[in-house]
Amino acid sequence: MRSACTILALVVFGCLLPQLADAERMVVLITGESCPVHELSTLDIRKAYLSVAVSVDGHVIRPFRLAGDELLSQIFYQSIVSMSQKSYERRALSMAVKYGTPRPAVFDDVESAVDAVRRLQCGVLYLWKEDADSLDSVRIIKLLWQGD
Amino acid sequence: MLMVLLIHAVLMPILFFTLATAVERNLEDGFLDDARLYARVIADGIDKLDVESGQELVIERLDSAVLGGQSIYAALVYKNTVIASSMMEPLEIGQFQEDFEFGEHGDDTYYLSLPVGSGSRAGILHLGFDEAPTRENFATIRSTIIYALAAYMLLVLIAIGYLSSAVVRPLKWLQQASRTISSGEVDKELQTKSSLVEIQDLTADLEKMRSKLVGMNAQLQQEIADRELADTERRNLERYLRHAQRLESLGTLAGGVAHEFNNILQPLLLYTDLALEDLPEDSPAAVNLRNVLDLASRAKGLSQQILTFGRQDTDADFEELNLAPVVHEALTMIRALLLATIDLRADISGDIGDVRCDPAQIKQLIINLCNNSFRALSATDGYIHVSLKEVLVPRNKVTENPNLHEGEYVVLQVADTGVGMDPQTVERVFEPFFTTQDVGQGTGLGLSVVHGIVLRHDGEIIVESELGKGTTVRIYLPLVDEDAGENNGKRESHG
Repeated sequence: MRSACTILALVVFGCLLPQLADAERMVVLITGESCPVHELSTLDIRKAYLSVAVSVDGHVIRPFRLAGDELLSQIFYQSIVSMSQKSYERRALSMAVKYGTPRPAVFDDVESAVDAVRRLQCGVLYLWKEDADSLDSVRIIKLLWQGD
Repeated sequence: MLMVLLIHAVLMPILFFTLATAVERNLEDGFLDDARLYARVIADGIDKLDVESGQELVIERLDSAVLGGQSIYAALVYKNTVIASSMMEPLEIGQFQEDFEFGEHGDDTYYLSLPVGSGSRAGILHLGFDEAPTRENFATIRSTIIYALAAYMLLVLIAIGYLSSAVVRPLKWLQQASRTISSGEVDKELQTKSSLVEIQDLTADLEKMRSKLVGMNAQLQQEIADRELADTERRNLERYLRHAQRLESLGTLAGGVAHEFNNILQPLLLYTDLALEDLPEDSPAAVNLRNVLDLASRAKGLSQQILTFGRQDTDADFEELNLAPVVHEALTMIRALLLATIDLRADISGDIGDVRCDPAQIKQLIINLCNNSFRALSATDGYIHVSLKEVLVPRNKVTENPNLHEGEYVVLQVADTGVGMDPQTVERVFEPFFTTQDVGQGTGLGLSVVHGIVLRHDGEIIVESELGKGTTVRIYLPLVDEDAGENNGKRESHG
């Protein structure tokens, strides 16, 4: 199953590669306009996505994840949390159990995830920059990855 | 066993690829964890640096990144320029291909990129990690797994060999032995050929069963043999009894008739004799009366023979004596009567015990037997052999002839090489008036008289004959037991 997913990801990645090269695709972190937090360090982002409670100026950061985009997920594991998928799953679960904090909510589509970001103060979500640029009521607070 | 080998032949490759894949996945995850964490640490270190004013510091950090861990490439893309570690040649912009899976681009280097700085100071850190050590680990793991599986396979083969010799072969041997036993061959002893206690116990149990089976078979065969012997004895007894009853009936009937006939003959002889005394010797009436007297005397002789057969004659005079002189006397008489061409051989042993007998009847017996033999020889060349000896009758002889008892007897044997008789004739030879001679050649009373005499002497008569080869008649007379004063053949007197 994993091999099939890997092959599929490679195919998708292979198809997207020329476009990436042209467009210099970026992955950014967004939050709602109402959130007073304007910048998060990479360490805080990693903490938040590993189920560690992160608070900036008294505002609790609530991380959301997007599933369904394989490349985005790979970028998440490699550049955001900096570990393998298996390690992340294990680490996130152990941290959630250790600190009693909820694990990052996972959404299958961008609309639902962005809606959650808008509704919850200081909810953060990673997504492609071109998608983020087209959204209202959200703002980009961090560049997480940039393709060449 | 072949099935086990086949299963392992299929299982081994599956097991190898499963184990190898699982281990390689773990190694890949470990590699990714290490590379990504190391990259994050380097990126965080560079993140706060002012690249424009501290480019040398950045290069030092990049050098440090290349020197540590498995990193072989470190460069910072900053405002369309590449600041690379001094320890390697930087890639041109556009040549960099980021990997998200181990070995993704097949270039033995795992590349990844992380943004550092922000705003006008933003740049992208490129790091490359050597995949070769991990691949070498893959090879090592594969070799280890292959060695482990080979060792396992060797153990399996050894186990199969051991099981085959210790379990399967003995079981097959036992199966073959069981089939042999079930087919009726129970003589071969079962012996274990296995070192396993269970197999030895099983063999011992089967051997016990086989031993019991052998014992039961032997017992059964003995019972069958005993029953067959008993049946044979019963049939012999029944045949003997029927024969004896028939002769007894004939003897009683003939004896009764002969007795009455004798009662008539006695006055006939007396009155004829008296009438002859009153007549002149040369008168015609006297001649006729003498003829009557001769014929009546012959009739009396016949009736006397019949009475002897029926054992109703009262003239017997028993005494204990050695039979040898009696037999010699009888043979002397017979030689005088027989033709000179007849070869009469005698084998008379004088070293025999006494028997209780009537010598006159014994002589009559010998004369009758020799007469029969002579008639059997008349048409052929041959001889008559008369012997007398002492014998010990064994038990098996007793079962064949119920009138005989285990003990010592004097046997008088008269044998000839004459024409012999068929079994049907032998069966009837003792019947009165039964004869194989032509009419007028014999009375048919010879052997009947012999039979009657033998029975009166508590003896037994056995006739063996074969057509064309001759006849042998044996007469067993019980030896007198000198200690007890009675005959040695343990039989009760027939009266």
